[in-house]
Amino acid sequence: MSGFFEAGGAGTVATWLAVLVTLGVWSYLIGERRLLRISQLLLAGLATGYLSLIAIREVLIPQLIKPLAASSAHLELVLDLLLVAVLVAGRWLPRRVVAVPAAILVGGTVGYALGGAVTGTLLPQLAAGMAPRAAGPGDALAGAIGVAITVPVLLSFLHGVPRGRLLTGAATTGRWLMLGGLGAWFGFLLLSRLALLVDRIGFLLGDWLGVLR
Amino acid sequence: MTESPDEGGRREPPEPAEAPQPPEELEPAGADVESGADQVQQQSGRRTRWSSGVRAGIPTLALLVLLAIASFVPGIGFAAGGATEAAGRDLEAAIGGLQTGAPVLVDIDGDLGTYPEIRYATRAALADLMLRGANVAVVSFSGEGRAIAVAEIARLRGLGVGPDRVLDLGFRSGGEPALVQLASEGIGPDASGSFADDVRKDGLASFRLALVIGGAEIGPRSWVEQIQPRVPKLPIAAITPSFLLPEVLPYRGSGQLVALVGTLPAGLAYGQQVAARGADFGPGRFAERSPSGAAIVFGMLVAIAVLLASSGGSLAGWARAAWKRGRS
Repeated sequence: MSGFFEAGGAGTVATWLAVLVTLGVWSYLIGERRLLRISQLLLAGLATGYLSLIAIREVLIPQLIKPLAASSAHLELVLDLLLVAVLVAGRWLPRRVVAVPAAILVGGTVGYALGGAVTGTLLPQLAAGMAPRAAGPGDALAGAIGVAITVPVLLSFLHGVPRGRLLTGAATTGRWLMLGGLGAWFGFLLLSRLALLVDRIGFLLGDWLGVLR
Repeated sequence: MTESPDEGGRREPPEPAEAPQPPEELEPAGADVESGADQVQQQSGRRTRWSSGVRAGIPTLALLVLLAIASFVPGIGFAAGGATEAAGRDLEAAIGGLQTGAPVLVDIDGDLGTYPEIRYATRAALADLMLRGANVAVVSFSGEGRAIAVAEIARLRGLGVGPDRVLDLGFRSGGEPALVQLASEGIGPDASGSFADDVRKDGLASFRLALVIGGAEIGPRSWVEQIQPRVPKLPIAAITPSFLLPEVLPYRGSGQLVALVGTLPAGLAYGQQVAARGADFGPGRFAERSPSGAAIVFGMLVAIAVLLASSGGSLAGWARAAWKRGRS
């Protein structure tokens, strides 16, 4: 059961709508595209409307308009508003003016992401990848396998560098190892998508037809 | 009349029958026969094109029907034990170690397209938290996650869970910078109630566990990178769809995540562990319908067969060419 639709008239209507849209999308399997297009447009329209509502109700009104209306002492909000206005009107403004809020936006986002990647992922993962002195032979073997996979994969990204026979062999091995990794990821993706299909079938059989408990 | 390929199965209305013409305007008999043959050919072409669309869909329709039949087959599913059960046990232990009334921060940032895969595990975790007497604060950093969070909070309220147990912290815009803001400023002044007052004092350090439901752009990786360095005492557990597993599995190996349920089998195992406990949850027990293991196993077998059939020929050709090159 998806559990999203409550019992009663509204729930029944919602279930029927979901069923119709599901069948409309599946009608593409027999070459019917109009229902699929309608469903796609419905999804795009609903998503845009929903995201606009969230932006207005949960971001703009409580975080911008209300504080500005309550007091004029929020200079940082006025500055924010100015920067957003510059971005919105960027098409008609000189490039140097638009570059300021764009640079702040990109720089801030990249700064947070890069800092987090180093302190949260790179350093802790390097530490976790090192086998401690007291580790058993299993840990040492796992570490060695990790190195044996990581080094060739990194070497496979060497481009435009003169390479000897050994380096070329290692890079080729790295490419194959990377392909193996992509294959494994594809397997996860397949399982993930199959679970979605089975869930839709379960919805039709259980929530709609009521034959699956 | 011909259809463009883009029109697919669209059927044109039948052409009106020709009005009877006076004998002097009639074309020679041969031409009449020819135009009749053209008409028949066009109609049969139209029929063929429509039926080719149906024919192309027959294998997929057959797969849908077979998966539907497989959904009724009991007793077939994923093999229990090993890493699958261990993942469920990790999450159960992380939640089981909480004291009654412990505050837990749940970040619901699933993706609408992949949420059905982790819905069962997510609801099992929420039921587990309720069973252990934890208080839950729900936050989202993506629009889709917010939609799921609203629906799940409404479902919990429908099951009889009061607002003193589930606090809605709403949507926070800004992506990773918003996570940093949450880590530095806590839940903020907007939330009200005794639970909100309790967790406002010490910021995120007030929480005993963070449970991240991933799938959208903000997920376990963002939490490990942005929250953990700033609030190192906050343990982080995660539930993610399978496709994110390669990205987040190393964090479980390094201990940065205390628990990770990242595959459907692990989610099923965990949900069954929660259901087996049999304690009351709201007005009833945790009895969510789990995805059919038989249908998924059958679908995987079909997928493997299709992959083998489609790639087998090209692999054989490649091997033959390589063998010939080796000989020459």
